[in-house]
Amino acid sequence: MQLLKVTSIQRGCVYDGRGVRTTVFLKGCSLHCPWCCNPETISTDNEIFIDESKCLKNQRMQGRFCRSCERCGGEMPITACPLGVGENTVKYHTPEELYEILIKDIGLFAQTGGGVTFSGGEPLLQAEELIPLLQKLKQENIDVVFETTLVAPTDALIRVLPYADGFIVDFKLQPQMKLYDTIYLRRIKAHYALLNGKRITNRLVFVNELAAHREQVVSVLRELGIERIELLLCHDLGAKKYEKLGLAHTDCSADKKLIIQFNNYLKSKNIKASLLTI
Amino acid sequence: MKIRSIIKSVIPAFLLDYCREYIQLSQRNPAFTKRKILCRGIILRPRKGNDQRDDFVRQFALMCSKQRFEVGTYYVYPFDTMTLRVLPRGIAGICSITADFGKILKSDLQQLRQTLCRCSDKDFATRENGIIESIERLASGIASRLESEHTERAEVLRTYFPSMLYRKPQTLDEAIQKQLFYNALFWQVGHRHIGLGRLDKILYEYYERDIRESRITDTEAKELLRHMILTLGKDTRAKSVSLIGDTGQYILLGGIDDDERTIQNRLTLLFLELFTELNIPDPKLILRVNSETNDEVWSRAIRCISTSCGSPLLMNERPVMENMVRFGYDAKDVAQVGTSACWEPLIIGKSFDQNNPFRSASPLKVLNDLLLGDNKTYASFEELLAAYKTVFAGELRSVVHDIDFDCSPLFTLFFDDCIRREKDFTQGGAIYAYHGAQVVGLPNAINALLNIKEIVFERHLYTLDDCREAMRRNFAGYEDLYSMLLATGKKYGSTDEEVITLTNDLMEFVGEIMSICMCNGEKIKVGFSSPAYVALAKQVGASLDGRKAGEPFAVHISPISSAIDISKILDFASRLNYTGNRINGNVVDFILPSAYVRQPEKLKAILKDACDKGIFELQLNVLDKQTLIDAKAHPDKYPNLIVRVWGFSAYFNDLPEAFQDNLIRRAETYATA
Repeated sequence: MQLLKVTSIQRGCVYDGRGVRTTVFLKGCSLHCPWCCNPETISTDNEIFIDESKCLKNQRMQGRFCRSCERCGGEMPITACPLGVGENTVKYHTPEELYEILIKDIGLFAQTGGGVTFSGGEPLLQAEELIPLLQKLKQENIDVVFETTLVAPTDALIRVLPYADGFIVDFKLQPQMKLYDTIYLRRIKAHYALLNGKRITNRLVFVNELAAHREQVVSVLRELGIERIELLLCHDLGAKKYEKLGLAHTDCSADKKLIIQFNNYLKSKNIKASLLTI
Repeated sequence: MKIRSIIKSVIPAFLLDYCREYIQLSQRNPAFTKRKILCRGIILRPRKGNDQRDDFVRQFALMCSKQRFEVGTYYVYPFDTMTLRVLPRGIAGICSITADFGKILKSDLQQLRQTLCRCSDKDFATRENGIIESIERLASGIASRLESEHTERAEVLRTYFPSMLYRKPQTLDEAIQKQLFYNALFWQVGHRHIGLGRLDKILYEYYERDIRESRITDTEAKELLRHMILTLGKDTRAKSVSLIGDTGQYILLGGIDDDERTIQNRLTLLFLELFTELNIPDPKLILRVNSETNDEVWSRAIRCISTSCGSPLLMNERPVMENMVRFGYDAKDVAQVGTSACWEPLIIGKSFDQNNPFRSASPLKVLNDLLLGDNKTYASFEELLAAYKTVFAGELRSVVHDIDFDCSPLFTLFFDDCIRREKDFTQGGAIYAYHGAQVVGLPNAINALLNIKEIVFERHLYTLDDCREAMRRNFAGYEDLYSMLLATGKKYGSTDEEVITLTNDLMEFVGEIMSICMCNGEKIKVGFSSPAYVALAKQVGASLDGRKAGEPFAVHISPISSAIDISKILDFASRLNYTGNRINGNVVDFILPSAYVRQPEKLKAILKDACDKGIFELQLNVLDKQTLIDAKAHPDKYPNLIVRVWGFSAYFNDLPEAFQDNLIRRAETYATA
């Protein structure tokens, strides 16, 4: 049976699309955005969050179960630590299991026009595994949105299209991504065209470096025919997760003044932008 | 204790009483010097040998003749904080009553006098007539004082005093003045936590007529309500029972009427609007919601909650009323459900239910006592649970006892059933006297039991003796166990079947034991919300939910783990079983992340969904930890920061440190949920 690799499920989300939604974070992404606030969703492998603050070894203490811990030469995997030091980042779910969790809020979805948002990571990378779940959700008329970079195989996008009601497209136009090459733009343009007829929310994470590339941004958005976009002020809320994964981390938090200037510039070019802060 | 008994043996009892009474007066009037209090304070002591009810009438008469009041204010509010009625020793005061102000507004003292003439119990009639005379004397006194005021407003008020005592109000303005007049009297006689009741329902006919006859505009009506709210809130300190703000002055909005139609009129919206604008802690709002509550009322309520004033508390009236009927309230009465100041349901205008007269039962303390008291080995978790229930049953039974309550010939006059029965309000006059017990810290007990089951009986990581030793040492040297208790497994508020089953099992058990307890010959209710989560917890040592000695318990039926977010706790609370006698208030108290406040439409949907699913009551704070930390360090910067405490709102700066710290800790826990 095809299992879905999920990092977390958040109910009652008010920001990931129309209405009140349940967001499923799926594991795996081919991009490595330095500001990614969910670094555990990047790799497709199971990684382990290690919370050093909970480990007794770091406090120069030893619990009776520590002797059997793999960190102290024993055989007990750190993920079995009763103090919760180690935690698997992947939870494997069958489509049926996931469905049972998602329909808990079916009443709320109906009331608010909400539904399920698949995010990640790049949710399209698990398109094939998602199909049975998507079929069940559509049988119940549940609204489905994908939060995607569109950097995924075209087949994957085509596979989920019949089940998707909307897309939140996260553009990667920041200079750090070095994606101004024609390959990225050509692929995005082609994929974006496939979304025709769906509800689309365009989104761009604002990092300070974007300010110096505003002309290029406008040019790409125009090329794609985009007249409206959400600007998300880059934050550093994921810092602790990098630490728990043992990964290097760069704080890309953006300047509020710069985002306002950037916003004004887009407006002057007839692109309506709205600011999102978390 | 020793010092107290020495003082008692050296100082005569009357002197001690004298000191106690003046201390009470100074607490009510902190702005006054001791000298001023000694000179101006009026203390009305009970007279020995008198019938308690006759003595009440005597005290009330003195009160009405000696009372000092201001007449230069927009409404006359005859509540003199320097006058104190003292109860006889061993008598408990009456608390948390909501009279039916709808009937009071329509009352005519002359007509009441005639009704009393027909009473067969002449002593009863004499007493009540005494009350009427005193009320008339006070109203006439106010009228004379108004004579000497030469303002436009005084001229208007002169038309109300004393005429309003003998007629149904002719305008909204007069209705508000009459309601405030009687409300002040209830406070003055020493009754506490006086609820205002369903003001959108009660005042609407006066508002509607004034608007229809173009006597006032909507804006002017709003201004009158604003004056009323500010008048009620001007004596917060003197009215507070324990912490400043705990006055129990609730205005109830919404809910069905006797004809099953939901009250949601212009006044419902105006009250919500006013509370959003005023942002004050006292009085407070309670909103009865049901599936018919319209979108506009919901939206205004969410806007009001978002100001962080703590109002309104949401009462999901269907499960509340249905369970009240199952318990024993008459189906035709439950449409008039109100609360005892905070969250405990009662019937407005019919209940003498004292819903918080006992000490709260603590299931966690019982578990601690069992574990530390017996050193017994248990073969299984089930065996331990059975032993726990036996001890817990004893604790529950010990909580409930008979109580000698104060009388109230004043309430008697305005509760129809009392006059019909010719009995004092507290002595068989009011038809309902179902008092209520409260359980504090249920979530802590559930977490402790779940931890014991997993750590001791399932995973065998620690023995029960290890746990006992850790508790005795407040986890010193047992930091690993302490971390484990917080980190491990299933937690209260999770919708895991095992957690729900254990919680319902314990709640049902409490209900079962309480169903055989009586107070003053009446069956009692029980609820799982209590104001004692800080005070009682101070006396309870370290516990196996991962709580160190003295740390506060959970607030009501709210989560204590960062793993439980608002969706989970609302789901969980809607799956708890509130039937039987478990109706004495079951409140989820949650601190909302600001993301929800920025999306009011979506928050509205979440709350409506929770009500559809069957939560009982909900109150929300909108706070962030950083603001609270800063407010604690720099109180001057936050003079108007309001927080929701157990069932009332208060200025953060007025709270004792333990409550401030608890709010900060909870804001942090919920922020990471």
